[in-house]
Amino acid sequence: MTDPLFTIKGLCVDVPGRRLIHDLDLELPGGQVIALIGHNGSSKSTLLKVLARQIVHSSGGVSFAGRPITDYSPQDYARGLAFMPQTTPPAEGMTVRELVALGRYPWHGALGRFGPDDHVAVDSAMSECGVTEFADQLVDTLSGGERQRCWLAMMVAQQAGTLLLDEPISALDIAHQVEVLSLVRRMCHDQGRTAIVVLHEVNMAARFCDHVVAMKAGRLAMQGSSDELMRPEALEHVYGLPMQVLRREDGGKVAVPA
Amino acid sequence: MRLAAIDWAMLETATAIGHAPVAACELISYHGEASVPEVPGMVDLGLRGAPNYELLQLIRPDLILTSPFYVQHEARLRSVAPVLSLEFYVPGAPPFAKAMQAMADLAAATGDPDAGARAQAETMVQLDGLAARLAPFADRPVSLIDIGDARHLRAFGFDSMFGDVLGRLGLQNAWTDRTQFSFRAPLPIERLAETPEARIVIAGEIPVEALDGLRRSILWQALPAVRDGRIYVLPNVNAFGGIPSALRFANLLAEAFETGPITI
Amino acid sequence: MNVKAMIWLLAAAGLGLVLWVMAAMRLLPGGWPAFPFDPQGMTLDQILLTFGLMPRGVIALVAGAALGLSGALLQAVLRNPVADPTTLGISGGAQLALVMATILAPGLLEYGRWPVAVIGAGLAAALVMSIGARRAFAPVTMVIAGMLVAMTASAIATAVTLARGEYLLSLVIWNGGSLVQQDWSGVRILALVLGFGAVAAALLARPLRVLSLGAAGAQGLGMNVAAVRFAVVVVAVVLAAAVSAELGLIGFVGLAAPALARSMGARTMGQVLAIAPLIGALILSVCDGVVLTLAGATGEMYPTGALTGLIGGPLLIWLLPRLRGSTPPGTEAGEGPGTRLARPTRVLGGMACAAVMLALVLVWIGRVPGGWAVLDWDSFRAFLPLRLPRLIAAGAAGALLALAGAVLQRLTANPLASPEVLGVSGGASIGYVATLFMFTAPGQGPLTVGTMLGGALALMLVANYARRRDMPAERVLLAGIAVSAMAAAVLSAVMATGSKQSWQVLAWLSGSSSTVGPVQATIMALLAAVVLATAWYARRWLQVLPLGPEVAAGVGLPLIRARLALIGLAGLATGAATVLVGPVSFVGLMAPHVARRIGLARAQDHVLGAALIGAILMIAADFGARMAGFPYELPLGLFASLLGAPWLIWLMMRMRR
Repeated sequence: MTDPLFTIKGLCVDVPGRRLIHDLDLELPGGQVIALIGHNGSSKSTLLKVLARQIVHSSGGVSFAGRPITDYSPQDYARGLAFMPQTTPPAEGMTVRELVALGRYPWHGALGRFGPDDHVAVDSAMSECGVTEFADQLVDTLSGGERQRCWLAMMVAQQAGTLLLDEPISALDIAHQVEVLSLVRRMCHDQGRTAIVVLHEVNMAARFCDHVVAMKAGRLAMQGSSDELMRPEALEHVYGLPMQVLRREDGGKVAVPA
Repeated sequence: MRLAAIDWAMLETATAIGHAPVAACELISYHGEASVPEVPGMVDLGLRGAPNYELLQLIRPDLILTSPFYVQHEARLRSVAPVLSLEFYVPGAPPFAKAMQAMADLAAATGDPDAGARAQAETMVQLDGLAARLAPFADRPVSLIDIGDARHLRAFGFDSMFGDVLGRLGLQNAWTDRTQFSFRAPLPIERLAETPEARIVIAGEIPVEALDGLRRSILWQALPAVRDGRIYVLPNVNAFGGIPSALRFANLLAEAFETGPITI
Repeated sequence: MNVKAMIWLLAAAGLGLVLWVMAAMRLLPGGWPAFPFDPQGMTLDQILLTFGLMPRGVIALVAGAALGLSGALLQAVLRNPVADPTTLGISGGAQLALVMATILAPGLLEYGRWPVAVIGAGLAAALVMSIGARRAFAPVTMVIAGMLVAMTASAIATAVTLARGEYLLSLVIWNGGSLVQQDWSGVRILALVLGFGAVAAALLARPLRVLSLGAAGAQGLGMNVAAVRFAVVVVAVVLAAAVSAELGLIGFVGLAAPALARSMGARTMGQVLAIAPLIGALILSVCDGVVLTLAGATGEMYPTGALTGLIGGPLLIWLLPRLRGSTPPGTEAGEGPGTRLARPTRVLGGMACAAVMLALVLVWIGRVPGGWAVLDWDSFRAFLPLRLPRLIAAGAAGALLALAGAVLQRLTANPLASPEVLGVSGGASIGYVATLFMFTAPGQGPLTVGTMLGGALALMLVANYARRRDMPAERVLLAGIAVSAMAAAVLSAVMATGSKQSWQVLAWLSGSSSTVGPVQATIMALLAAVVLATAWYARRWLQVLPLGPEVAAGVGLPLIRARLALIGLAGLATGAATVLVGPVSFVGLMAPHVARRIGLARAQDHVLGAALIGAILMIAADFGARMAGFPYELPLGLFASLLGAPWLIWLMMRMRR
C-alpha cells in the first residue's frame, strides 16, 4: 500500500446521547474500489458522511491526500472528492445535461464563466456514463438505473479523483445494480480514480470491490481484500450470523446464511 | 368656494357653518353611522385612510379639510389644493372648545367669518335650552358607556366629545378615571358597580349578541342602576364628530331622559 | 411522570390558586357567600365574587384543559409536535368568520358566537387538511399552510375592520382573548364540550396509538385511517372553536401543553392525552392569575390571550430544534416532471413587453364618476404624476416579492415557502409598535428606523437557524412563523388597549399605496433591479440548492454562506415590499409557481420569469384595487390575495401526492 488516500486517527462521532463511531483508526488506499459494509446501524454511512464532510466529527482527525479535511475550502474539497447521497433528490424540471453541468460548480464557482473546458468535461462525463442519448431529457422522466447513471455522470464531470457513494444501488433491480457497479469499477480502474461505496449486499461488495472495510457497532470489524472477507469466520464476525461461502464455477465466491 | 373633506369632524363642521363640501370621504358609512341626512350631489371620495386622489383632482376643490389624524396624506393633498388641517381630538384634552374654534377657523378660511360666529352663537343657544331641559336630571352622575359584548364595555371620559358635552349640560360624568383617546376600553362590566348611584347611558346600539348575554347576566341584573331602572339607550352618534354630533348627542340624551328608562 | 414533574405541576397549581385568592381577597369584606349562591340575598361584592371571579377561575381551568386536549389530539393525529389550533389556522378561521358575521350579518350572532365560530374554524381546518393530505401531512408543510390561512384570515379581518372606519369593540376584545365572566353559563357550556372531548379522546386513544406507526402501518393493521383522522380533527376543531367562541383568541396553550407533557415524561398516547389537558388548565390558570394580579395592582385590564401569545412565540422557537420527523424526501416535490420551454428567452421577452404594455394601458384608462373613461391629453398630464409612481412601485413590489418567493422556494425545496412566512413583516410590525410606545409622537423618521430594526432583528433570528448545518432549510421557515405568531400576539395586545397607538397600528397594517411619490417609486424600482441582479448572480446556487444540502455541499457550495446570503436577500426584498403592500399578498407564492408551470425551469429563467410575473400580477392588482370599489381604494396586498388565494388553493390541492 502506497500513500493512503484517507488517514483516520482516533475518530469519534457523537449525536446527542449516543456515540456513533468509537475512536476509529483507519487508512484507506487510493486507486481502488473500496466497499464499506456492515449491518444496519454499524455506522458505515456515518463514516462515509464524515469523509464527505457532510457530518462534523466530534474528535480525532481525518486527512485527505495528506491534509486534514477541515483545511480545505468547500470548493477545493469538491474538486478532489465527489459525493452521492443515498437518496438522490428529485431534480425537478432539470435536463440531464444541466444536472451533469452542476458537477462543474467547484471549477467555475458561483460567478465564473462556463467555458470550453466545462463543456468538454460535461460531454465526456455523459459519454463515459452512457447517458449522452438522454442529454436533453428531463432527469425525472428516466428510469431508476438511468437516473443513477446521470448522477454518476455529474460526479464524473466534477473531475474529482475520489468518489463517495452512499448505497448507490439500494433502490435498483439486480440488472441495474450490476450495471451501475460495473460502471463504477470501470471508472476507477480505467481512470485511476478511487471509489468508496457503502453497500448492503456482501456478494456485490466482494464481486466489484478491491478492498473491503467492515464496520460493526461504530468500530472497525475488519478490512482487507474481498478474499479475506469471504471466509465464514470473517463474515460471522461482521454480521454476527453463521455464514457459508459457496464457490461458483468461475472461482468466484458467494456468501449465504448458513 | 369648493370644499373637500377627508375628516368627518371637518365635514360636520363645514356643514354646520352652511358651507357643505362638494366631496367627502366614506359617505356611505357616514350616513349610516352618524344618521345624518344625505346631501344631494356630494361626491364620495372613498376611504378616509386611502382617499381617491384622482377623483379629488377631478373635483378641483379650492380647499381640502382634514385633521392631523391623516397626517401621512397631508403632503400629497397639498399638491392638489390648499389644505386646512384642524385638530379636534387629543388624548387628555376636552374637544368641545376645539370644535367650536374649528367653526370659526373654517369660516375664516372660507372667507365668511360671520358664518362661524353665527353657528357658534346658535350652538350656545341650543345647548342652553338643552341644559334647562336636563336640569331635573342633574341629581345623579351619568355613566356614559358603549357596550362591546355581554362582558365588556367602554367608558367615555372627560376628553371625549360626549363627556365634554355632559359637563356643559350641567351633568356629572361618573367616569373620572383616566382614559385612552376619549375612551377607556375594554372594561369589564363590573366596573359599573363602582358608581352605584349613577344613571347608565348607552351611547350607540347594543350589539345583538350582547343583548341576550346581558339579559342572562346575573351581575348585570344585580347592578343598582339596572335593578332600579336607570338605563337609557341612545341611537348611534359619531363619537369623533364636530359640533353637529355634539348637539345631536345632547338632543338624544334629553329625549332619552324625558322618555324614561328602558329595561334590558 | 417523575417526582420532579409532579412537584412542578403542584407548584403551578398552587401559584394559580394563590393568585386567584389574592384577587378574591379584594372582594372579601362582604364575607364568603352562602351556598346555594342565591343572588337575591347577596351584596354586590358577593355577586362579583360568586358570578365574576369564581366562574373566571373555573373557566380558566376548563378552557385551558380544552385547548390542551385539542392540541394533544392534533399533534397526535398529524404526528407533528408544533400542531395546535393557532399554527394550523383553525383559530384564524374562527376569527374571520366572527368578524364577517359581526359586520355583514350581525343577525347570525343572535344565537351566540358558537355556530359561526365552529363553521369558520371547520372551514379553515378542512382547507389546511386537504392541502396537507396531498403531502403526507408533512409537519412543516402543515404549519406553513396553516399559518398562510391564519395570516390571510387576519389580514382580511383587519382590512374589513378598517373599512368600517369604526373600531369594533366586541372584535377587539375577542382578538385579545378575555376571561372576564359574569355568570356560570360559559363554564357550563365549556365544561360540557370538554366532557364530550374527553369521552371522544378516550375512545380515540387506541386508534391514535396505532396511527402513531404512520398511515401506511395503521392501514396495514386494518384501520380506516381517513375516518380516524377525520374524527380526531373534528373533535379538536370543536374544542378549539368552543373556547374561541366563548373567550376569544387564546393562542399557544394547545401547543405548550402537550410539549410540556412530553418533556415531563408522558410517553404513551394515553398519558399525553391525559396530562396535556391538566397542564393546559394550569397554564391558563396561572396566566389569568397574573392578569388578575396586574389588574389589581394597576387597574389595567390586559387581555389574557395576548399573554399566552407572548409565551407561545418563544416556546415555538425553543421547540424547533426538537422537531423530529421531517418531511419524507420527495413528498414536497411540486408537480413532478413538468413542462419545460424550449426557448425560455422568447417567453421572458414577451412577458417583459406585456408588463410594459399593461402599465401603459392602465395609465390611460380608469373609472370616473359615471363610468369608464380613456384619458384625454389634459387629464393624462394631470393624472400621470398620480398613476405612474403607483404603477411603478406596485410593479417593483410585485417583482420583489416574487423574487423573495422564488429564492426561498429554491433554497428550501419547499413549494409552499413564501415571503409571508419569513417573519420579516412580523418583526417589522413589532418594531413599529415598539417605536410608537417608546417615543411620544414619533415622526416618520424614527418610525421607519424602528420598523427596519424590527424586520432586521427578525431576520437575524431566522438566519441564526439557517447557520446550523443540521437544520433543514425548510425548518428555517418555522422560525419565521414563530416570529410572525409572536408579532400577531403583540399586535392584538396593543389593539385591545384601544389607545391612540392602536389606531395608528391599524392604519399602518393595511399598507397603502396611495401615498407613493416619485421618490419612493424610484427607490423601489432600483431595489427590485438590485435584488434581481443579485439573484441572477446567485443563479448557480439557486440551481444546485433545490437538490438538497447533501448534493450542494458535495459539489463544493459554501452552504451556510449561501443560505445566509439568500435569506438576507429575500428578507430585504420582503421588507421593502411589505411597506407598500402590507403583510400578505400571495404574489411571492404565486409568481414562482406560475413561472414554473409555464416551463421556466432553469434557475435564472425561473427567477427572472417570477419577477416579471410578480410585477404583472401586482400592476394588475393595483389597477383592480383602485377600480373594483371605485371610489373606494382597497388595500393592495389584500386585493392581490383575494385574487390569488382561490387559484393557489386549487393548485395546492391538485398537486401530486
